Amino acid sequence: MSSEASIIFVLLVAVTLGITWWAGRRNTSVESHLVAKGSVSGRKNGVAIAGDFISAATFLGTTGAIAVGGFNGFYLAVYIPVAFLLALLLVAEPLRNLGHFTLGDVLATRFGSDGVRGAIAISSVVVSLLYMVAQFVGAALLIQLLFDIDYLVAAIAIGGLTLLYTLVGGMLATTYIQILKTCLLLLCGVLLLGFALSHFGWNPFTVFTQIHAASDGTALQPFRGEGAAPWDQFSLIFGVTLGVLGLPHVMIRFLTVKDSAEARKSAVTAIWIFAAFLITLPVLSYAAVLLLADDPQFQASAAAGGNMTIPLLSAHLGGDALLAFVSAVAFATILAALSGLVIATTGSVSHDLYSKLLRKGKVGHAQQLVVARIATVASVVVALLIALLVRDQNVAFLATLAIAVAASANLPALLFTIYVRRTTAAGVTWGMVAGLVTAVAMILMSPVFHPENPEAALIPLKSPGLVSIPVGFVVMLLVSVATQPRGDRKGEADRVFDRVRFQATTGIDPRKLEGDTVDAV
Amino acid sequence: MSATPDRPHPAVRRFEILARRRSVLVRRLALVTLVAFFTQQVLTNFTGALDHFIVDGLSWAYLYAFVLFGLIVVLTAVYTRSMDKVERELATDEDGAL
Repeated sequence: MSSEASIIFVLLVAVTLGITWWAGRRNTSVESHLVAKGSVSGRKNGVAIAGDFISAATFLGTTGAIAVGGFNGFYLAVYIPVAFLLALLLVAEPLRNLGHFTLGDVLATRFGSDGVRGAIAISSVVVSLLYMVAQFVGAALLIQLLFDIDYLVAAIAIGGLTLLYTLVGGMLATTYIQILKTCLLLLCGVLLLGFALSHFGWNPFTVFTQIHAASDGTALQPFRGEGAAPWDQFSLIFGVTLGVLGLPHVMIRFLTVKDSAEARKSAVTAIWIFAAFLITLPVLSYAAVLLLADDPQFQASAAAGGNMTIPLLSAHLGGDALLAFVSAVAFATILAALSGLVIATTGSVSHDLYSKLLRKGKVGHAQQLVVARIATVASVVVALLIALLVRDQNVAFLATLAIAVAASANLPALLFTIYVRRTTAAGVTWGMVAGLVTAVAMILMSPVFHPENPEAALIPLKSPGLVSIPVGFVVMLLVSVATQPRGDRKGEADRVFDRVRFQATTGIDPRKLEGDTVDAV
Repeated sequence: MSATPDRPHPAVRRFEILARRRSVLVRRLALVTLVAFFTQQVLTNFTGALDHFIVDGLSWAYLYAFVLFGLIVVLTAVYTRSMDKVERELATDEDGAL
């Protein structure tokens, strides 16, 4: 590592530890540990949400995908603002108005059943853990590559820092580290764009015309593969777009603000950042292709998927100093994303599974905090151990699987709970099970598990969303129809739905108003 | 202020207005978003309709994608302004004029 890189890294880690120490002094209750006591402003939360989703996979992976795959790589950027607009319209405000610590709380406002809370808690833990393992492996490989250190050392360093941030600072530290990282990432994008455009007469369109000439136009056109490839591409984008709305680590961020107006501000801020940042990625990617065409390191990176496109472009444009800065930002990106995932897992384990299901809510605040901290340590250790075990496996499918499960199980459960009057607890539980099982089964039968002979796979799609998401929705609908309550129970179910709808819209629990209001609602 | 037989509780009346306006807005905007986005996905994945170039360096596929970014920002602004307006009106509607 160069001396510039050493200084930047020490500074970055020192600042994040400072934030953790500051947040740690305020992290004294389970509310602060899991949702920062709802004290984060909408704008700040929006910056943190943007940070959650402009991860290393987006920053390094999408630019690499565009550099290597042309227009098709840009699909991985376009879906993000679309997904967050849908989140703003459909879930952000109701979630803030109904939720407390976890997605399980949202469902529990309507269904008292242990089965529903258990299903969403397990699904949330599965999604977050799969995501964490994928992030750990990717992060350790990236750090190994960037700093030429051993995988084991890289994984333990990442795990240790993530553990420190989340254990001591909780959600508050996680949020402010994410905000810091987003600001650094935006600065990084501006610097890279400025340096790159200086080679093209400060005109982004020149980059496009030059890449058109260099690639005979193919880099700017959609590419459609043979056989099931277009369906697979469609299924991937369908799954990831809807999956965002069911990702626990993203959705619980809407619980860190005080009301629905702030939740709305959060989503709007995030969408603005996505739009401004992601639209520049094709310019950076094509600039890298044009400027580094003869660089053997770039050719080797392109052959391996292109993840090193941005670091190599940085080294070319700004030397060791810019490379060190970009690498430090990538490192911060990984730590911040992992911290959010750890908090989401912690909430589901300590609040849903332990406090509400195992202890039936009979747990004091102090004890809940202790359990939350134990769950934090356990989440990091389990994810780290799995990441060490699967270090030589191709784990890229884990992220696809995680987001497919989020879209096929969590999303139908949230939407049906908030919007569909006839939904029943059995419908939600079985719909989630069906979505989860279908997504996992399809991945196991897909070409992902037949790398030597993809033709032998029973299902040609690598991304299960196109099938598993409709399965989750349809099973939830059919089981709800088949298990409709009768007589007095029907009237009670209607009253509960009206109450949930009132609270989801206004943020007020009608039971806390005057008695006549409850009847009127 | 509490409810009377011919005058519902103010919170209930506010809820009804908010729920009705929000529902109309959300349905329209979500429909526009889904149609615009999945039309792009269908056209690029299953047809060659967006393969051609408007000018050298700008394909229809990229133009559609950039316009989609703009559309998302506009729809976001439409939703937030509309909801802010409804909430402002409800906050100042003490006499139940709405």
